[in-house]
Amino acid sequence: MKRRRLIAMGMLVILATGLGLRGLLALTARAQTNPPLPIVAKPAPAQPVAGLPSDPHLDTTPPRATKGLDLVKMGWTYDCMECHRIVEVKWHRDRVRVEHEGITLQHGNNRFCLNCHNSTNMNAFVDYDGSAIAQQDVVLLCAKCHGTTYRDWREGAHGRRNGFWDTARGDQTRLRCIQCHDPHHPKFKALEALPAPSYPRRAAGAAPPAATSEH
Amino acid sequence: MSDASPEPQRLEQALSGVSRRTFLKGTAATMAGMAGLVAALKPLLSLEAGHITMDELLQKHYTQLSPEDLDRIMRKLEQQCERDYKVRPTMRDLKPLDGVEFGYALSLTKCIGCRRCAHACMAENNQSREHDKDIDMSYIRVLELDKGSMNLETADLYYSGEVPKNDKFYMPVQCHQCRESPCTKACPVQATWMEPDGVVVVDYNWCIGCRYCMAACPYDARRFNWKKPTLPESAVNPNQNYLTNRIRPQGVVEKCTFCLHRTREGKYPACLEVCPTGARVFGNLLDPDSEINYILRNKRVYILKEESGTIPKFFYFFD
Amino acid sequence: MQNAKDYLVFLGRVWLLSWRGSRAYYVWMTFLTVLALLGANAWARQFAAGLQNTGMTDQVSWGAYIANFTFLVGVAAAAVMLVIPAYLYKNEAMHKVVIFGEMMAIAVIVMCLLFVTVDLGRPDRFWHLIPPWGRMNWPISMLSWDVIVLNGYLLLNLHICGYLLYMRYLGRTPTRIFYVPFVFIAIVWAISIHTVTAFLYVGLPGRPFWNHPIVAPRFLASAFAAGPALLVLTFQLIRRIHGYWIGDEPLQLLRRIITIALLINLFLLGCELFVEFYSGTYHSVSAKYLWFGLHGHSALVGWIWTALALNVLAAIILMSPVSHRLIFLDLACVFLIVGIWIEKGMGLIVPGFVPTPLGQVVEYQPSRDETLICIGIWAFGALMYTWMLHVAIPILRGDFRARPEGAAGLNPQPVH
Repeated sequence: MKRRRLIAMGMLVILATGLGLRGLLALTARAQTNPPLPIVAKPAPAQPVAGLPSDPHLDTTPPRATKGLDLVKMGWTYDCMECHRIVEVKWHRDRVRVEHEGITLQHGNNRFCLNCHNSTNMNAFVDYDGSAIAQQDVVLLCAKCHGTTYRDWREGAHGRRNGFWDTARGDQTRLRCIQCHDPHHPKFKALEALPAPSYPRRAAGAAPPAATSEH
Repeated sequence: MSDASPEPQRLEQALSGVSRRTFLKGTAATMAGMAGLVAALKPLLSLEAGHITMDELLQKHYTQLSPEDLDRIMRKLEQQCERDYKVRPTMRDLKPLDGVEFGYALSLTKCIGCRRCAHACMAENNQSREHDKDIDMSYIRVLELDKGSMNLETADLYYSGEVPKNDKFYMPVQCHQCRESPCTKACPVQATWMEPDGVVVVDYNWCIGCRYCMAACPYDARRFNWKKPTLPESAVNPNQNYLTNRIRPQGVVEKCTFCLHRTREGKYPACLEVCPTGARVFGNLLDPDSEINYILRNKRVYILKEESGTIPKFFYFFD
Repeated sequence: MQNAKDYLVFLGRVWLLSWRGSRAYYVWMTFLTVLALLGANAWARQFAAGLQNTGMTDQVSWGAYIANFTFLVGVAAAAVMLVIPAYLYKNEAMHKVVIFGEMMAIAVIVMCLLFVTVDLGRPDRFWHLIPPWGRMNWPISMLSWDVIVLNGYLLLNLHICGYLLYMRYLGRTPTRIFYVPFVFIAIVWAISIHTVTAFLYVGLPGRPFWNHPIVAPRFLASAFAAGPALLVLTFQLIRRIHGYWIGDEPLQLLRRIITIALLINLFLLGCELFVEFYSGTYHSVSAKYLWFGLHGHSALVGWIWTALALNVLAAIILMSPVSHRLIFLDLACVFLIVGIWIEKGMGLIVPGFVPTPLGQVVEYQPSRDETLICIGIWAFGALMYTWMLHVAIPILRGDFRARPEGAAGLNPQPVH
């Protein structure tokens, strides 16, 4: 009788030690694989507000008024790690929780949030090797897959530039990828075309049937 | 041989055979004719005083004006603009930059035909308009073409609604600033010429309005002021330049000048600044590191109506 | 000094002679003057309000003015079809009537210059064209060549007619060196005015409807049909109204010239149509618009087929022996003048602009004011020519001479 109780307690102790060791191992292992969290200070805006003060008659607002990270750059103190220090993100989760309701990912073949978002530092993005890409370097993130486009953007063949073509005389501004492309839904919605020219008034005959000029 | 001239010595002999009746008839008829002519030309009185001043009538060609002359003329034009359009502009005459030849490229892959460039051109260049969405005089015409060919016969200027449409692509056309421009060849008075930085300009105070350049242009790039320009106070861009975006007089031709009043300061043209897709690329062709040269080196570039031999500085490209 | 005084007296007498005429003369001249004044009034309105008074647009930026100008330059050039038989082939009968052709050339060239002036957006700046004050873009601009050759032709004809008529008035034999070289220059010059006008259109790479070699030969062929046709009709009017006898010989010679020119014109038209429609390149879209309509726009189709029918009919009449009879010759002339006027005006100028180089189809129709100005200029031309005939015929007949006692009949001198 006494011997059975001893064996049971012994097994419990071994189990507990085993679990404990495992837990410890797990803890230490995580501590070993996680690089130290980078200090993500609030970065200064990477470019000034688009458009020059002397051009009020030209509408140079970027096509996409970006929310989220751009707001961060403009001074919001929103720190993603406030929640994500506690809440873990997982690879297999391809739909967001209630806090990010409204974000659906329709980025073509890019189906996983953590392809871009850094699972350990939610204030940054993630590179191929798991290292962080800072928020202000978001173009490097897009460049992971869209390298040729990134190359064109660097050389001026992709994306609009504003300001001075002659950088010796003034500032030239570029738009970052996410100021035109919504990363969660990059396919552009159709834009309403601005009004057409009118069919010449003095021309003989009526306007062709396809002409739909609006006044 | 020939008879000596038998001229009568006295007027009576000369007029003999002519009755007094004829003389009176003739005088009366001449005076009636004159009166008729004066009456016929009465509409000329409706021209405002100062519509055409003596100075303006006798003004020399732009290239022959001294800097003082030009300055005086520009101040006067500023006054006229204030009187006619209620806005006092600042008029300048920016000179070409050294070592610069402007080039422009437009991506047919990216253009969605939204027409923001055409509207920005109107906002920047002070063309005549009937209402604030009027882009008839815009230097840019955006063509909607059927996919599958470059046949301009399928072009539609008047499309509306959401763009881009699935089976169409879009091609904005503006002055190509040709190196071998038919328009500068055609002009009988040298009112239009190519500046050293490659842009073809018009001296609006020299143009006689014959419109031969408009017949010559293969790109339909030029516009004519069929009447005195009308634009509301709010539409006047006060940053004006003598050869580019000052408000033109009646009866002269105008066209895109690659916004020289901006680009000679180093800025981008207005059409490029508003393009939402970044389809437009502008820069210095003589700078090997410029964006435009990157395009020419690396993209598939297409020249509209290349067979006309115009050798333009405006390129279309595909990504 | 005496010569100058004589000339001034001559001018004064000419002024007086202008007012001496029949009732029909007065009615005709008043009618033309009224039309011309209406045209002047319409032009004054156009000058004040701008060319928005016309039917022209950015897309079709040349219209009725340039169309009439083109046709009339051809008519002016056609005086050479009288000069060549008269001077090169020493045709006596033609020699007597050459001056009427040269006078018509003067009136017609003035009309051409007026048509160009009313077409300008800034006619107050015409001096920009005149060297040394202006900057004429010669030799690159074909329009600068046109200005030179048209004015030169006007001066040539003014000199030749003025000199010969004045000599006749004085009763003197004209000195050959003062007019014969000019006449020969005028032969070449006449061909050049119409070739240069053709080159205005031909030299534009952006307008494939015009940018081909056949335009210039067709211009000349149609000019040498329409101009002499107009002269055939005018000579018969002169016969009837002024009683100045012009024999049938010049008319028959002109008939032969007109026939050949018209046939060449039709042949060249055939060549043009073959190239446009057989090869079927996109460059023939303007021809398609003209002959068959384009995308539902077909305003010119009726006109051009009518012009073709008129020209073919005129050719048939001219080729058949009935055209020896003046009534049929006149009919053929009227047909072909109208046909060629349509063909050179609506059939050449407007289709060059339709469609635009960017494929836009915008049609053109002259406005009321534009039409008034065109009619006014034609009326002014008729006015000038009638007046010139009114003065020249008495001189040629010998009724109006320096010797007021009337040297008519004494030592009649040939005109040249």
